[in-house]
Amino acid sequence: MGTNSKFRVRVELIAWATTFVGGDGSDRVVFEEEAAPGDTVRTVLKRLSARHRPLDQALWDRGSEELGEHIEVAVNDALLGIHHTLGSPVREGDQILLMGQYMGG
Amino acid sequence: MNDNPYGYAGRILRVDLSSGAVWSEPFDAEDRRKWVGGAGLGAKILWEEVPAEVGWDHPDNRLVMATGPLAGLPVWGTGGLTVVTRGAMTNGATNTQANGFFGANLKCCGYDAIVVQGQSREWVYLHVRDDRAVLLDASGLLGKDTWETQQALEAATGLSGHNLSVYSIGPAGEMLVRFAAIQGDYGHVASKNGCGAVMGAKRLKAVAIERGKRGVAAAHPRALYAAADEIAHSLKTDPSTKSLYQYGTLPGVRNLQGMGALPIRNYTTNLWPKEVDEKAWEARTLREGFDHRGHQCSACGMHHCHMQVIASGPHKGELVDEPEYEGWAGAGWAIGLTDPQQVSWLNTRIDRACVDVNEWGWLCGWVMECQQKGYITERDLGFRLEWGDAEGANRLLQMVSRREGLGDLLAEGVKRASEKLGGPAAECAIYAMNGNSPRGHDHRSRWEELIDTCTGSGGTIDNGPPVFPTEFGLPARISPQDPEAVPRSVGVMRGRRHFEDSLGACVFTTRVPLEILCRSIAAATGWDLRKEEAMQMGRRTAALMRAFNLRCGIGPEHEQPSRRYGSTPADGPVAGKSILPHWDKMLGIWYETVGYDRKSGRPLPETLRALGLEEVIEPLWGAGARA
Repeated sequence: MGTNSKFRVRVELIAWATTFVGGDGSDRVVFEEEAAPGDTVRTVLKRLSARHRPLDQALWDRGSEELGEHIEVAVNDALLGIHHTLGSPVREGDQILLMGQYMGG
Repeated sequence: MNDNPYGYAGRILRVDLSSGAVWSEPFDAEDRRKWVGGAGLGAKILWEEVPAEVGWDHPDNRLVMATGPLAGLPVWGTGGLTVVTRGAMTNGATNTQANGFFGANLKCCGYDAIVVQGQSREWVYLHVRDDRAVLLDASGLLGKDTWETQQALEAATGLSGHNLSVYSIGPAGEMLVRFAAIQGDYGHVASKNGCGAVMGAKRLKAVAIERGKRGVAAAHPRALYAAADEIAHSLKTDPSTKSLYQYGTLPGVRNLQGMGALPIRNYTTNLWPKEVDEKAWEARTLREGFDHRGHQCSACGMHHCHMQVIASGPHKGELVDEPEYEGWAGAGWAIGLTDPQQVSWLNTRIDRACVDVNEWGWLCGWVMECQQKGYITERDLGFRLEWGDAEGANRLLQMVSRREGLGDLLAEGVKRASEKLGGPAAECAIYAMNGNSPRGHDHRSRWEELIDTCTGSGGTIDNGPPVFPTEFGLPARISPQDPEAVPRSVGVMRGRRHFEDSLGACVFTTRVPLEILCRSIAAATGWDLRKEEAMQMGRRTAALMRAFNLRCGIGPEHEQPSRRYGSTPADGPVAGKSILPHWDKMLGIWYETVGYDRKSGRPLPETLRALGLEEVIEPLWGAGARA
């Protein structure tokens, strides 16, 4: 693969988080997002949320480029902040998982 | 100050079980504004009336069952009850909540709180009907579980549903099990810090409150309705609380599993078992997997806490209460039980015997792991208990709640039991060194709750997850393993939960921007209340509970997790990430943020002064510090 080649990043929304992309709150919805070298976790999520207004509203802190309170994000099965940040570049085969907020109870 | 008790009944019911005396006192305007109700009022009473030498089982301990200014008004989830006492697990302050109808019924009888002191010679229950509050013989209720007790009192009064709220202890409370709880209205549990054992020590089996005939007046009824609508709208439409509105805390299992925060088999793994169908644990499936119906609390429109019927297995047809997330965790995942039908059944057995489901999960999971590893033998326990054995877990529950055999030691809770057993068994137990029971999560992936549990002064976490942190200048989201941002966030948010716990409202229906909540309280009481004052009210209560605990000998030397609680996850989303290398630094940031002294644990004099707690400075810091 050349350095300018496009590749795919898997973005998966599970259970309640599927309601933000038209799901019924169960199972999972998977998107194979096209990405290019230099794209970051933020770029991929921004591109996806631009196509789904409820996700856009839930995912981002209003008026900023940072995450809001409502959705938890993991990259390659590790929560954001452990191995990746929003600014980390994505690579072919990366998997981003979105899940509902932790509520307690 | 205006003494018109808008939002309040304006009276506190006092009960002395030693003498049998029952009387009422005013809850005056100054105290209402300073302490609000619930947790705040309870903290004040503990501080003023329970000296250091009065332990949790001493007759002079106080059991405060309080509500607040929203209870009985048409705001969602406002049947709330807060229990404050010196509890059996920590021998320090307890702050624990339940809902149902208690708060609304009590207010309509003309009281904002019940304060119980003394110890009865014989078992009694308290019956409140409007102005008439009497202690009645409870000998016929002894040995009954909490649901049986409620049914017996329904039969005795001819009342049920919202017309009669009954909070009682089960066999566990009668036997002074240290993590015994107080359960009411079929499935609502004030569960923390052994408040049920305190009630048992007083020989008070139940409190039954008929729906009173008095109304609760709001200062500005139209504004109250508008604020109540705003709260309901926020809960129904906010991206996160919409799931609470539809399914209560049921989505928690799948969400927390994805974060590595589902406590699986006593923290031995964070991986979802391959043989377990993920779909079976989604909110909708959990609810629709049972014949179910709504079971709303007073004035509430949330679809939370349904009643359900076991659909299959040996207990098919039994009526149970739908577990909260923590029921699915403590009666299920923590002990390796992954059949929702069996978890739901066991969860109700726990409510009926009446122990804290969180502590139960840590205790039962610990016994199961110890059996697997040979630290507790079949002979020690009297039978073999494997991971996921629902019937065995219930057998253990009955042993513990009646203190039979090894159950007598286990009834002391997992901290004391594991310390007594010692050796490698002690390494497997999940608890905080201050005696607080961790909530039903794997906090190794939620450092904010781990530090909150270890510094908390009420028997468990003080804060819970942050609610609308941007209102307080915090970022909307921080990394849950950021050793600087986490303690700062926990410190800044400290007080919000204490304030909510003082309102007579449910913690899930107060999960709205604090500004909206303040509008409802302002409309109810006539106060000019802003979120800054609300936070100050909550922080005042938090500081006073800490001061009380320090007086009880619970200081910063106890602020750390047990070895297993603070261990490094071996797998899952936070594998290999340990909090311990950051612990001292995190505590330092937390102390600095909340304005307490790092070395002694005491709230600093300037902090106490800013919170309007000048009267606490001298007892904590000595003469001369007050100036």
